Amino acid sequence: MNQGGTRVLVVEDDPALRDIYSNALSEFGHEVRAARDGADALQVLATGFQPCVVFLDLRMPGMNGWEFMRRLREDPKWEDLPVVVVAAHFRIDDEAREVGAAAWLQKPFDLNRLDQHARAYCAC
Amino acid sequence: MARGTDAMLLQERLPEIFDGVADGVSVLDRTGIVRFANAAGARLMGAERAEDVIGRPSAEVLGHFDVLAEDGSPMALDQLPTRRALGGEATPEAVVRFRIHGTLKDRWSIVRARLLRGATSADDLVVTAFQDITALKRSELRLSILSEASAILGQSTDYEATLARVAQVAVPSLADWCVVDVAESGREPHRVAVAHSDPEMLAFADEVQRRWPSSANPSSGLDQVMRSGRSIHLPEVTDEMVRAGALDDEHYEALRRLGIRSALVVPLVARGQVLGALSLIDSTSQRDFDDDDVALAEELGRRAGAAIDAARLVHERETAVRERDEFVAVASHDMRTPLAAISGYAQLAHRHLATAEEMDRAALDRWIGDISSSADRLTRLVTNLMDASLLRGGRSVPLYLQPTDLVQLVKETIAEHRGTTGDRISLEVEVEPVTGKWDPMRLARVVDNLLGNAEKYSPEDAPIEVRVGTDGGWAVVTVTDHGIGIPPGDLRRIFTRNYRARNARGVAGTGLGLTGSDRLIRQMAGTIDVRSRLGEGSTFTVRLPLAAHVPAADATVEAEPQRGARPMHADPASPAASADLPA
Repeated sequence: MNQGGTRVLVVEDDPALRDIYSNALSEFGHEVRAARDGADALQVLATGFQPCVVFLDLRMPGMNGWEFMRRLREDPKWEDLPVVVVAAHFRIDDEAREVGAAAWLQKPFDLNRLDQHARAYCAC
Repeated sequence: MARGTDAMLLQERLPEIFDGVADGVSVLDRTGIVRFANAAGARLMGAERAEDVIGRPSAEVLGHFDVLAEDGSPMALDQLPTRRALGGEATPEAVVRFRIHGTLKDRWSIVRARLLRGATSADDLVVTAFQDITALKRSELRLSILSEASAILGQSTDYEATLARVAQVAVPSLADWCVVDVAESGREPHRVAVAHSDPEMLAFADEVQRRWPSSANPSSGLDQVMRSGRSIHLPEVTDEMVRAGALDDEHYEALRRLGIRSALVVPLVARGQVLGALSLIDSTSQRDFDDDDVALAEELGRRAGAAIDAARLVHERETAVRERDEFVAVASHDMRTPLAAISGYAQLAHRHLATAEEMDRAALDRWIGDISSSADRLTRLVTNLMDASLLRGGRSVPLYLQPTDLVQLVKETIAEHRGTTGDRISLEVEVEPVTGKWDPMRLARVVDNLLGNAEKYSPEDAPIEVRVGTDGGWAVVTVTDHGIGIPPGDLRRIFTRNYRARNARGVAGTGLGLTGSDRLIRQMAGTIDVRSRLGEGSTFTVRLPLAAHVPAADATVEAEPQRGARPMHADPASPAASADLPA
């Protein structure tokens, strides 16, 4: 199952969705870490976990996705880390562009898309 | 012979005969001396009787007039029909505008002249007839002002900009200055336009208005017109009147410098509402406002009022459409999260059933359970949206009354808030349980709304105190914050939609708001009221009948019309008005 699998980070405040994305990505053979907000995600990154893509919700209590992106890009190490915005907003395309995301997924979506994105950005 | 006598008689009575003619008639000789004038002619020359002009040089008689062409430009004297007739032209004719020196009081005449040749040229006479067309010209002018104003008013829904241009149209043809004040619904009028023929005075008038706003002056004509909806016409504004209207000595001096000689203030009306006032002021005594001017100004007021009304309706409609769009956007956003959970778990389960070698019953059970709870969440959301839509439209929502423990309900709602606010919410329970027949989902939303407001309008570390208990036949919940409080003047308004709209910054929520909370509680035959001190915080109290049929008490806060309005059904707690679910 782990063939070609890679490391991904999921940032999502909704516990059910966090659970679903983690489950699906694990099933697809990826090593998944999940965070409940931006601050939590930065902590995960600080532990040395090196994802090759981040699935990011924008509207989250605590540190939201915009603030997370600002902090992330401040660190040269994560300057080019691909981020896929995963959100429900009707202007998700504009918002993804604003934060400099590589792509976006509007909820709800086919879970296979998570795998496709993980493989595309991780080029494994 | 009889004929000769008749001719003599006629000749004698000729002046009398001519006095009966409405048009002015004058006869000049070649030296320019007035040899004859009838009464109308003398009046047109500014004299009271013919005797006052006969025998005098016409240049002297007309000396106090500016002689102008129809359009108001100066007219060379040799262009006057009388002069042209003397020059040999057969029957010259022209429209001449006579203006008394230093005023704007104009009279228009069609002037026709004819040379009567004498035995010698020294005996030549010129007969001139003046047909006074002043009334016609004035009504033409009024019509052109009205049509120009109407065209401007029709150009844009930005009525402040169009009214400013309308004021320009009125100056100087109608008045030396023109001021327009408009009141937003329920507020003091504010000045939207000032036009003055003298730019220096315009700046000064602005300054006077800034220092002594007429809206703050109860004796101002503006205030009277706004209240009565009737025009005020002051043909002569005396010094005593200025002094009486002034707020202090400095104001009096300023008003004197503005030089208000006569004034006309008319209401801007539409659909029976006074929306503002148009003030026309003469500061040089160069013109008098007559009844026709009053009628013209009132018509301008009606047209301006209709334009303001139409612009506001357009604006209201745009706002309503925008709010609805936002509502749909927010609603669809909110629904996507539980929908994503349902879809996600279904996909996981489906995938598992299709590919797993060994079925993980525990995982499937959990996923299906989560699908079910997400579907519940979605249902609640849809219900909330439906409620918000109904309540916004002033309608009632279908209640599901069932035995409910208020204590338990409040505890659960607080627990949901703990995630975002930590432990700042404390709960004091006086008795437990506190049960009644209420709609638990709607009631929880009201409590949730009150907690949300308490969080929003108080510092992050300030405690929020919730108390549940009973008082006679009533269940009582209070939510007390130590936040910014509500200004006393606003207490009456916080349950109305406008108030909420002004405070709910950003997205027009799909949330309940205080308006919706109030309506829901009223539907459950309860009341919601507030006590607040600015800077100290607010306490909201919800009271609900413990027994099913206790009538609603009056709201403690002074009732607004909206708050006083009862739901359609007489007894909101009766089964007919709700889906009354047994326990």
